[in-house]
Amino acid sequence: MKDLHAGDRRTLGERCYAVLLGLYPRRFRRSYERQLLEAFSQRYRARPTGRARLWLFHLWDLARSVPREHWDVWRDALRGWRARDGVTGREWMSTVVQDLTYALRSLRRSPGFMVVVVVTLGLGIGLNTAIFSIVNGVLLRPLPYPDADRLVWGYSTFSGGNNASVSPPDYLDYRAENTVFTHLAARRGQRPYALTGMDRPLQGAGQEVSAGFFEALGGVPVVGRTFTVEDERIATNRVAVLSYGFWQRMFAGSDDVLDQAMTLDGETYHVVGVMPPGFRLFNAVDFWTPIGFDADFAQVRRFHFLRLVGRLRDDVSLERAQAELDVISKRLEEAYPASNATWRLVVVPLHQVAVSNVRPALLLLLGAVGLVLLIACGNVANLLLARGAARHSELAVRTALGASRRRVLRQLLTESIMLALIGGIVGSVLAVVGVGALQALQPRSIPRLDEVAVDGMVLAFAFGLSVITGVVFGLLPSLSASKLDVNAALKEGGRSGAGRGDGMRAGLVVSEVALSLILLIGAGLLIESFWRLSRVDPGFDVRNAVTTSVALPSARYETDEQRIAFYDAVRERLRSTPGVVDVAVTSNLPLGGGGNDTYLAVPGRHQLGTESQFNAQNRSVSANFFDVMQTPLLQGRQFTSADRDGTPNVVIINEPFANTIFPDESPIGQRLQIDLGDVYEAEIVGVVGGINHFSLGGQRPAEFYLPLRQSAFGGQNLIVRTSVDPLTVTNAIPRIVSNVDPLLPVSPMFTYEELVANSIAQPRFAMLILGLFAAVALVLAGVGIYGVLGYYVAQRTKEVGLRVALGAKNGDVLRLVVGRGMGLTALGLLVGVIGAFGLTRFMSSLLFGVGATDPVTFMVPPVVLALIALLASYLPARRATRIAPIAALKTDG
Amino acid sequence: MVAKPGTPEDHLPLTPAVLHILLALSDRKRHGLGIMDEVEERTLGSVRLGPGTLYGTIKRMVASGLIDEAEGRPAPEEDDTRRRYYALTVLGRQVLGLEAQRLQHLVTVARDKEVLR
Repeated sequence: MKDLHAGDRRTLGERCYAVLLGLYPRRFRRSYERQLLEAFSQRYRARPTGRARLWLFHLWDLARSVPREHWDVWRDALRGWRARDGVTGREWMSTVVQDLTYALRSLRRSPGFMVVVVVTLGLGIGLNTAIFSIVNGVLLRPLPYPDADRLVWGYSTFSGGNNASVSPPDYLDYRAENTVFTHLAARRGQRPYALTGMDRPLQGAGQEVSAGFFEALGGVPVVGRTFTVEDERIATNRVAVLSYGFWQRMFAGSDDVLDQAMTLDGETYHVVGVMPPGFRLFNAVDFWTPIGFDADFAQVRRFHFLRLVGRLRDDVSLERAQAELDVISKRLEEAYPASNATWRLVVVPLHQVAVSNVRPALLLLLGAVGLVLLIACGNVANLLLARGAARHSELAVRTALGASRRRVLRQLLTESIMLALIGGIVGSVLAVVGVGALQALQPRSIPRLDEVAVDGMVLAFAFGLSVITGVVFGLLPSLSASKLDVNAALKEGGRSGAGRGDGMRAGLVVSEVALSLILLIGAGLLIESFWRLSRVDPGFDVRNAVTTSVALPSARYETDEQRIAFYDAVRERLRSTPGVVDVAVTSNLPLGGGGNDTYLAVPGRHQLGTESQFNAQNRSVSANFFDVMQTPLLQGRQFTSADRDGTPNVVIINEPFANTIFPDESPIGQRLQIDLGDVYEAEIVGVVGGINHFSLGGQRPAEFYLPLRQSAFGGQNLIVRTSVDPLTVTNAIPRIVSNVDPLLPVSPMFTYEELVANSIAQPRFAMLILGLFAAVALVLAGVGIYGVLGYYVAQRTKEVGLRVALGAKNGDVLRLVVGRGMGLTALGLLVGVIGAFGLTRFMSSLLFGVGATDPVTFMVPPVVLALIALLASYLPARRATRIAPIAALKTDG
Repeated sequence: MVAKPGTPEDHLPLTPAVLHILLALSDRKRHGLGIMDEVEERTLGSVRLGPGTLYGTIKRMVASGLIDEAEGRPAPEEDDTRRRYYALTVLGRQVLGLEAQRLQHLVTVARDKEVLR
């Protein structure tokens, strides 16, 4: 840089500015650099103070003008290309067509190459499209309700937990006092109802909901009406709304279904409406009945068993709604301190609730499948590099005849994109088949799976991905192939010398190995995680056990004695069935989902109805429950037949309960006060082991058990312990149940092993899919190494022949080739381990019992990859040893 | 670069930078620094052209034919032979005139509507 004024020295600031001027494009700098610097200098020297502002001004000026100048260069280059090729806009289009035709012709001449590439790409793009269609259908698409982004889910939090239900009186207050919802509805969990009055007793799935439920979700009945607030008073009249399928099945879809009577659990319900096909919230039910807010237990503010669904007003945000609900919660807390202290209603978007538990797994799979595509691109790029080298003479001729380098480059890129598009079509077909197969298998692990489809959005994704893929794998080989020395290429006569593009090929292999390793390690972590999860001891014996539910209608089973008599009769008959060991009853099935909880107090230490009370899960079980479940008795005794109505109240607690409430003393003999509506006092007679009631991966909750004969609430689940394969006994159970009560419907039966498997279906799914990706990646990487080394050998036929002629042994040749292959692999493994180290932390939420950087899991995959690489290196090496020296030396090139 | 032919109207409306540069050159030839100074003075400091913006705009204006590198230099005492001087072309002058008219029309409308008193 010449000095501006003779004799002046540039200051530090001016030198910095001069360096920054390097950001401008070369041509612009050539023309104006001196003036730019002068303009800066003049201002800079004229102002010894306030230079900070000056710098800011100039930096801002740079920030605006540098991109603009670069953009100008690009725009001119584009125009220049067209100008240089001597074409206008329209003619440019026709050259594109020319390129496409040429590409097709040239690909047709090498069908083998085309098939390999299309298959590789089809696999990569197909897998990506399939996963994306699942992500799109499950995570991205809004729920199938009108204006679904206005829908929220409501639940309670309190000092003892943050995922509790809402009590009916609280709900009614929220409904009455809020101004932010167009509808705020409540629902109970669905349950089976006994339908009688038909030719044979049936079981139907029904759900109790409040008025406004259908309106909140935007459902409009096809026949009749939905529930009104009057319907919520069920003492005088009970109504029901049917689902479309149920209407078709039970009433033949006849139009005069309105006002027809159904007997559910012994009570008469009149049909008032039918919903359209497919209407449901989360799970499909057969019919809906109104929540009876006039029933006794629905008036108790301390009983929480509702979840809420609401539709926000159009002009209301979620934050504002939550703020108003907090105000109402505060008011309820002050008005009813005994029941509502620390209780709050929380609302979250409904979409979040529907898919939140599967989002991390799906996002992981989306990322992983992208890696698979990159590996596939690597292989295809290598193939193209090889092919490009082989086409040197052809390209040289074209260049000699006047095609510019840019034109040749464009031609080659067109070929790549065309290959990618064909691969994309194949991949889309694969994706359709794959998604269809997945839907047919109906894994329980993915919510909204039936809403997944390969639709326009997904196909657009596939198209865009194909184009990007084509550019990604095509760019390097095209750049390399178009950069040729015409004379040398023509002289070589088609066979290029060794060493061209070797670096690029080597780099691709290293990247492929690294990416495969990352996938393998990820899959390994999930496999390890799943293995540990499935080995968790749930606290009871899951083998040889069958479970079923029984819905005893309150009309015919009003008293506890009647229910207990039923269970006794069923138990006696089942025990006399060969293969059955015993039958137990429980109100809540472990790992069956759902639970009941209530407040307790130890007299003298806590006080029910105040903050000192504590919360635990309550269960009503038969005396033989712990024996049948094979849950260990840790202290005290089990229930006996002596514990029944009239004898002192007893209760058994489990280990987590004991550890929390009685950490330093024996609980046996202590008394508990239990809130069952009225205060129920019982003496602790035993402590049993904890059970993973909610999930295998979760904590064991504190539970207490009441004997069936003293407190027969719920009591709807039978657990049958067998001495033989449970499936041989499943016929006997419904037979015996209908012997005892012919009017009871048959329930579906599950073996406990099935139940457990269902509870870990999602981790299994993630593991299987990621394992599939890792396997595909392994194959692709192996093929990639094999291909690159094969090419390496073919390039060096002359050199190898020479060495052999000069005395090299087989061993030396093998070492040469395998050494190169393993060298590349080792580098790839190193990069891959580092990459895996950084990336696996993103899957830690999916892991159970194993850390994201578990050393053992990190050690195995590299060994596996190294072995595959060894095999892939050995095969071409062996071929190298077969090169007859004379033949090799005779080869031209 | 491809020259942009066409009528003067094709260039309207002008970006502020272009307008100020045209104005600066409307009374005499100037070099880049001179343009920067003139604009800053004239607008009382409210419009400051940074060097990058200035020369980038100058480059584009030369390409579209609004200004030219000047033949003939000012008197030797004021001249600095290393600096490049710029002047309006015929087209540039026409465009400047049209833009001034456009703005004047706007002001008239604003007055009529009592936006401007």
